[in-house]
Amino acid sequence: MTLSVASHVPFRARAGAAVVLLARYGIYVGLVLLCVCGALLSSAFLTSTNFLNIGLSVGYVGFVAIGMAFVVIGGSLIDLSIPGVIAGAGIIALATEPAIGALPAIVLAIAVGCFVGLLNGAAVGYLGANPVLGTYSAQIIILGIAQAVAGAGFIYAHGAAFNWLGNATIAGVPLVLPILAACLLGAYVALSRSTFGRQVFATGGGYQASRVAGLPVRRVVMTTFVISGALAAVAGVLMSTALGSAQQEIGIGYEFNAITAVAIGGTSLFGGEGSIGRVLAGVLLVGVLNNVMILAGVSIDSQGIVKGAIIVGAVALDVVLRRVRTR
Amino acid sequence: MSEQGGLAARLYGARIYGVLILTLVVAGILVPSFSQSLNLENTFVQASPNGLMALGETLVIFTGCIDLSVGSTLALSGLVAITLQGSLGPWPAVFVGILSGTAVGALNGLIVTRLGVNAFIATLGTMIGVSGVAFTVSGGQPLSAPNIGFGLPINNGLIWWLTPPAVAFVALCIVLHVVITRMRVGRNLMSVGGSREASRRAGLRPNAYMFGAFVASGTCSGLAGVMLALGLATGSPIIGAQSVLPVVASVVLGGASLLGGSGSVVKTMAGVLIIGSLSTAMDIANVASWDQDIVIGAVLLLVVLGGSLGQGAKRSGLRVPRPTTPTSATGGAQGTA
Repeated sequence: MTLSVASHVPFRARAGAAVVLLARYGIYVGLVLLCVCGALLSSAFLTSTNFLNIGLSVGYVGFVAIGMAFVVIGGSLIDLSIPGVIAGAGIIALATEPAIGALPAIVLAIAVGCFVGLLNGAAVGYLGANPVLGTYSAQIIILGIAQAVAGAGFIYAHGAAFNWLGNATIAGVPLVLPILAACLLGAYVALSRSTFGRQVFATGGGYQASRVAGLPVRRVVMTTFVISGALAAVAGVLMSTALGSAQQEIGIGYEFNAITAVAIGGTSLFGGEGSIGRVLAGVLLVGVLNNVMILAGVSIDSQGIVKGAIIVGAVALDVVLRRVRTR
Repeated sequence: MSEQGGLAARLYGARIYGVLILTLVVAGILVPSFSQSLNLENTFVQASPNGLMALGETLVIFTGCIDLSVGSTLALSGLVAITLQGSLGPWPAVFVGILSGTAVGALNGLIVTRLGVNAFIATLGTMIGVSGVAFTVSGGQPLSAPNIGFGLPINNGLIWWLTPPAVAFVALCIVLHVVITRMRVGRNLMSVGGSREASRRAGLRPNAYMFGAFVASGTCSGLAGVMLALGLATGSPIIGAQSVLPVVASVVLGGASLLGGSGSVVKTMAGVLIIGSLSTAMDIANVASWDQDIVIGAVLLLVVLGGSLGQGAKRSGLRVPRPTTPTSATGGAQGTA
């Protein structure tokens, strides 16, 4: 269907084209509308400081949401181990840094994240464990180990390298955002421009069919969990260096925040559909929404009501538009 | 269902009871005082609020949906009861508190069946939204009641040593078991979960059963929330924040498939009691909370892996039967119009 609508095209077809466009780009339209609302509500909205604030507030969720998107698109619904991986990676990085140096500590933390992802992926992909329960057990085991190691208190960052990493900026932009941008680009290439990406979509879209067609479905499922574990570990390391400390609870809630962003962006929770652009839009939508609510003076206690309504409303609108389109 | 298959298959189907007995025996050997009657009673009483939520969650999972809002509903209903008891008196406040849970369930049901929103996202939204309502009602602070149980005997044995929440847990489990296994409405509920399309063609209305399951789940959470708040004489907006995953875990531990159509409420009770007795036994033995987490996580993992290996490594995961129309693909409409 072309974008230019000639005058002889019947109205219904034109309306149909509009619906198709809205269904495909609705999340982006919603994001722009929300920004317009924000700009009208407060003169502080359209400032670079405010956009940096929004970016920082959703930066860490961004990493997690990218990994979660791979798991979801590959058809495994959710990776609940994330709070454990974030806390574990942060604690490992900060605790080992005095002994082995900053870079090896970071590599070790991310390697542990990959390893947890590997275990999750082996359990779900090869042993057929239910992903919800399998990754949930991983979460509570890792959180337990993290607390046993770190105690109930904090692990503090020592060396100068982590102090630098936590506060570094590039042209005034905190380092976490360029790193996130690089991860988004890498994820986009892996998901939409590579053989592996097509295998992820195929596995999530039809597991049996992909298996019969000879795709390495088990390995694909496992790899999606490894990606999720690695990115959650990156988030954990960046978060704890920025905070200057790590403890068992820093990652709590991130699994649900990430899946919320993925779902609002319009990625199907059944698998086989979605894109990194949609994930980014979903992450930004949540960030802008929180920001606009604060600027609009919505009380902290009531923000959840608005957020819940927007989540349900966005997905309901998406469903309705798709229904109209296929009618 | 359990009637099918030979002895081996039936024993395998009942393995969760074996795990429960094994848990109790091992806990009894390692922690001698655990097997004293008072501690067994405590285990049961303490597991009751989660148990009530798990029973409602089981019905929702039977239909192939999921209810993530149980914890927020638990918090809200307790706060509603505590807020209203001054003006309405104890019993009406209890009643309205439970009804607030029912209302959340009805809202979930409407969003899923009328708007066609995937249950996971719908109840994720209401989980956040209802929690927002709970924070707004309480002003972000815990609210206390003037006296425990509003003067109602909430912490005393109602029947034998069973406190009212424990009685509700047992009674509801028995009632639901009879409804699911012996009555038409229960069998229909299971068949809706087994195949929505097939049950529609057989003349059932899948949306009605899904709506009913959500209402039941909301009511169960409301009941659990009111009883918990009464027993503690405190309502807190954060009390259920960490409940949803343990509740879902105990349902799946009991063998219910997240795809719907299989499972048993009695096995859910076994799942609840396994987690409950593990934590009580370790509490008695002064095991640190993080070591408790490791043990419970390991037991969960073993049972899950045991279940999936037992099926000949057949995938028990969430390979969702694809909806037939592209309509229901994204956002995953559970009930296609």
